[in-house]
Amino acid sequence: MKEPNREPGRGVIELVEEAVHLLRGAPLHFHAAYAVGTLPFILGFLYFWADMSRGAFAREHAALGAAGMALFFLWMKCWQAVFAAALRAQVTGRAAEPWTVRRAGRLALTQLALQPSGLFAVPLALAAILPFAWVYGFYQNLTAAGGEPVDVGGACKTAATQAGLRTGQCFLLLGVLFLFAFLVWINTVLAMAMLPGLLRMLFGVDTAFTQAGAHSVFNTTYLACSFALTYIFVDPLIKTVFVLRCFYAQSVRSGDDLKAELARLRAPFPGSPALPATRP
Amino acid sequence: MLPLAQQHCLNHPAREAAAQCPQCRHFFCRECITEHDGRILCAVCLRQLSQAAGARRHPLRVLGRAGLALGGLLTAALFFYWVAQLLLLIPAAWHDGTLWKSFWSTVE
Repeated sequence: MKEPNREPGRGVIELVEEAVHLLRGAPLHFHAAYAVGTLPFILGFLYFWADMSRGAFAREHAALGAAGMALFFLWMKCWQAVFAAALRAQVTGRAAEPWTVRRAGRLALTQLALQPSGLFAVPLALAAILPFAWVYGFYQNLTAAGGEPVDVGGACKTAATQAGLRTGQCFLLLGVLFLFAFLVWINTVLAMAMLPGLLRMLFGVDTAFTQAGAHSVFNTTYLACSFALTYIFVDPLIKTVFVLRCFYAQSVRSGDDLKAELARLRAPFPGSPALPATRP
Repeated sequence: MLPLAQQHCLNHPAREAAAQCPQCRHFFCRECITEHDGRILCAVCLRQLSQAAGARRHPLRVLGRAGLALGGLLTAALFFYWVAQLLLLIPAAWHDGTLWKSFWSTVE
């Protein structure tokens, strides 16, 4: 009987499962690095949104607010690259490289120079649909390769090469992840809508939301809050999936997955695996 | 030219060749070659490449890097400025949800 034509490497669900295991087993300081970068941006963005949508003098300080948001955005991207580098070190089973001034500078320069273009490129690619997986994958790969010892051109080349690998898998992967994000968003909106009512029912605490009634959910800042929370919940998973995707793509040449597997087998106790075992 | 299996190392004629350097096209044994940036190179070519890379470093490179970083910052600022302009364009009735409140009261 003819074998079904399967592409080599990890499948989509397998990759997501492995990312979930990796994320769950990640030490607290990995998550702290992510939070240090992302929380200021999210809080700043919500303030910026509320200010621009309601502030009486918003038009006068729009440029200053935008400059502040740009700084928050680049700060977030740098820390997300630090988070990805830490995950990458855990996946390969090697000790994490120390953060020298040179390494941190290279990471910051790569993120500063390349990530802002994604703010324009990703929505444009989404509108065109077909190049979306490649473009989105490219910017995620830039984050995933943030800690690598390469310059801006090298990082760009690596991210582009890896974005071009298994584009079909990338489309499917993004479909699964965005469906998951949509479900998380629905849950977040429901939780946000129910929480004020529960607070009043259980503790007698009246909030602005209970006073405003059911119509408060149509407030644009409210919706922005729900999107921001969904981003915080889902984005670490997306970053981890792309770290794994880059790792397996590079392992085809470097054999790092086999080395990590060997390191896991040599580990003195089962509590210190380099890779979460997802295969039987 | 003889195939690889019949070639000998340029530096160690007694040894069989293990690879051909893509830069200088000479054959070398396992000891005389190394991998660099995904390519197998001989020690001489690797030294020449690293020297060339070192020579390319220019004082203006720092300025170039600063320009890249500044360009990124300006691009991000421009994006958020447009977001701000878009938010300012949206009527207040949309932002505070009163549009939907009046819509629902009309329906009821």
